[in-house]
Amino acid sequence: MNNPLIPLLLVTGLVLAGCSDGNNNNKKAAATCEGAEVQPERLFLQQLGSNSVIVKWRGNRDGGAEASSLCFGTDMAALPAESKTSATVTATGHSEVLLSGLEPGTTYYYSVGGAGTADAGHSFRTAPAAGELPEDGNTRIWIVGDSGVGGTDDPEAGYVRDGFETFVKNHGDEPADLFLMLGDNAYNQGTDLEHQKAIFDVYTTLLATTPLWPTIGNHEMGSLGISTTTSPDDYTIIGDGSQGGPDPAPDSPMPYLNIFTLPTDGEIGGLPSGTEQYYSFDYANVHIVSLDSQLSIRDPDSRAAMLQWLKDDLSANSLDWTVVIFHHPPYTKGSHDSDSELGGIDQPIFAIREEFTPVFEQYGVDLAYSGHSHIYERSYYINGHTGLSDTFDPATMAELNDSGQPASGQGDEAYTQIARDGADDKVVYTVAGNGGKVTFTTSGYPHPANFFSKLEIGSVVIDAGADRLEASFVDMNGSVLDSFVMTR
Amino acid sequence: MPASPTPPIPVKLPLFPCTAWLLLALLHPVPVSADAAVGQRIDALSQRIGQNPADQVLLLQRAMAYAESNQPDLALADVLRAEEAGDPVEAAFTHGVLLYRAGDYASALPYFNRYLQAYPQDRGSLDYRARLLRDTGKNREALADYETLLGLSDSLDPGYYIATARLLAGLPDRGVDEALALLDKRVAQRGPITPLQRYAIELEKGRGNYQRAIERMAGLDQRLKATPQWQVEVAELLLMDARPGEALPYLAVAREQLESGRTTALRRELLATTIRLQAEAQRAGSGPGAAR
Repeated sequence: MNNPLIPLLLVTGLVLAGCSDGNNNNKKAAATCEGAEVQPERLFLQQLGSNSVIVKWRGNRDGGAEASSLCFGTDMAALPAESKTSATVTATGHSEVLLSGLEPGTTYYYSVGGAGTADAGHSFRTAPAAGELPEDGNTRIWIVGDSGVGGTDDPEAGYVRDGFETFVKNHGDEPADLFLMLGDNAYNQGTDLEHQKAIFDVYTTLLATTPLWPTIGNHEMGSLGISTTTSPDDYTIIGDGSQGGPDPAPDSPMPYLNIFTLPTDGEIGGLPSGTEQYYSFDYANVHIVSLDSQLSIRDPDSRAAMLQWLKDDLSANSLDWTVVIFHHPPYTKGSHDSDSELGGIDQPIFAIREEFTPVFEQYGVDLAYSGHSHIYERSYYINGHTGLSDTFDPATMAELNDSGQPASGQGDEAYTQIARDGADDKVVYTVAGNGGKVTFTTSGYPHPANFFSKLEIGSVVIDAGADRLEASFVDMNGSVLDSFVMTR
Repeated sequence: MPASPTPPIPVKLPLFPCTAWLLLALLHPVPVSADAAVGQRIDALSQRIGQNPADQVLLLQRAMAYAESNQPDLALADVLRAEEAGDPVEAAFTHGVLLYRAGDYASALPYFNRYLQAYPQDRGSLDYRARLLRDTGKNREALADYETLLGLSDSLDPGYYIATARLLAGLPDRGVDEALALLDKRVAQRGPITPLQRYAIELEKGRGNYQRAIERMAGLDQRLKATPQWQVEVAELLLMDARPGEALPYLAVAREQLESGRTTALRRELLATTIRLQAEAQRAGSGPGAAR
């Protein structure tokens, strides 16, 4: 649940100034924190922006008391005493600290528990000033979908993580600036315990340095992923509760909403959505929107409200690149078939395709990512495809190459943000529900709107510069199996 | 409260909104993508039911698992057994959901009523009944449920507020003023949520209060107010209010914004709209008594 942290705005520029000059020997050394470092069972960053971040944690891996405060600063060897900030504790036992007044594009180190020093693994780099590029000129985004297999004690999400790390090592050691999860983040029922096993025990190192931005999948609503309810208040499970169940009041019964602290008021850019179920934010030159294709989309009034918010949010966006994430894919022939509502479970696929893709295309979205189907599928650069797969007409719906065939996005067929028709009206849709498992394909595979489809576990890396964006499908060995380029 | 690594698990087992899938599976016998866990779950539940054949909770759980694995007959049988195995009230919600999903609203309603008599603040039942009543035109009763829901939960998405406001606006003895008060209250609590603000603007337009709609446009988020779309929308309202002269500056700003910058399909359409409205405003402005 969104937790008001306003009373914790304790961090001031004065504190930061005091802790940013650790190498100046002419100055009297500032007092440093004197607490004891605690290694939480879960530790992650939320809502990282140019001037603020939320550090969130719970538990103590060593079994001792939990930390109640945090110290931080720019000198990892001397975290100033003035930086000590007390945490708010939520009903589900999460501790949260909002650090504000930070400098853009700056690395900060932190100690949960408030020690005077921090290790390099407990650090974050604030986003550049709004609209500016990171220092290295590139925004790197790592995306995984349906990666929650750790919740059922399966190891594949770790293999995918390792593949990404290999990719990073082989491509200039540039870490991810953002980590996006496409839903079904914690199988089978999105309980708190399953989140622990599928997220916090798998991406532990990454989460201590890189902000996580999730979206809601069907398994986040429990019920083995078959819920069609519209309200988080209806979260329930099927089973004996051995993997956990609904969270206790006064928090939401839906663990996703209690674990993550997501923007509702445009805190990190974007327009206020008034709900944590869908939101948007800015990072450097990229605007990212996370839609709720599981709950809000299933009720006409809630869907209309989300669609209206999306239109307004995209209208107000002027950053270089726009990426939208949601769980239910409009074009898939993987383990889900975008031609079938599956008795209502997959109705959101139709709602996304019929009502939301026209907005993406009209309002300048560049890339859309979803999961749900346990496969990797990447579309051509398309617009206007709101029907079933047999209505896809490449001649009128896809960006074409010089030979009149759908362009691949590769080599001399790289896409341009302003397409050949002179308008920015096309989107590349990618299904990346292969972050923890691949299963099977359905009748009609591959979907005709897709350029590349493969049953192989992996993830997506987006590198967004000022004028060039490249999106890559990275397998568990760190190899790139598909990629495309878009320029502007 | 002190942090707890593993929160308690208050599973409200009798409340299974998703048991709706029982009937859904009956009505849509399509192959459901069954998770491997479901088959295992059925086996485990069957074993436990074998030891406790009248356990209502277990029967409902297995019914759910049958439903997901596309075995509707078995699912329904378990639901009926569950109804007989314990207090029928505990199964009333599930029964109502099944009928609701089948489109049999008239039959579903008594089940929700029965369940809510026992559990008047159960959000799941209120949610289903509110929508059922809304969808069957029983607006006054629907409104009562929506208002109860809003009182029970502070985290409902903006759609619930719009649904409630729409019902308020449609009832003669409640009306648009109450609807606007509800929307304004939520915006005051949560900040400028544009779908709520825009619905308020629609309500003002609907009753011909264009000036108030324009004032509400001014209350939208600053980032939205910087867009050409906002300029065009304000101009349209001014034209509706027969103030073409005042509309022209907004259209001029919009046109300037639209003739530079990124060419999205929306901006193309807006430019065409702007040019059309400029012509309209100029025509109206030159006519007798057009400007106010």
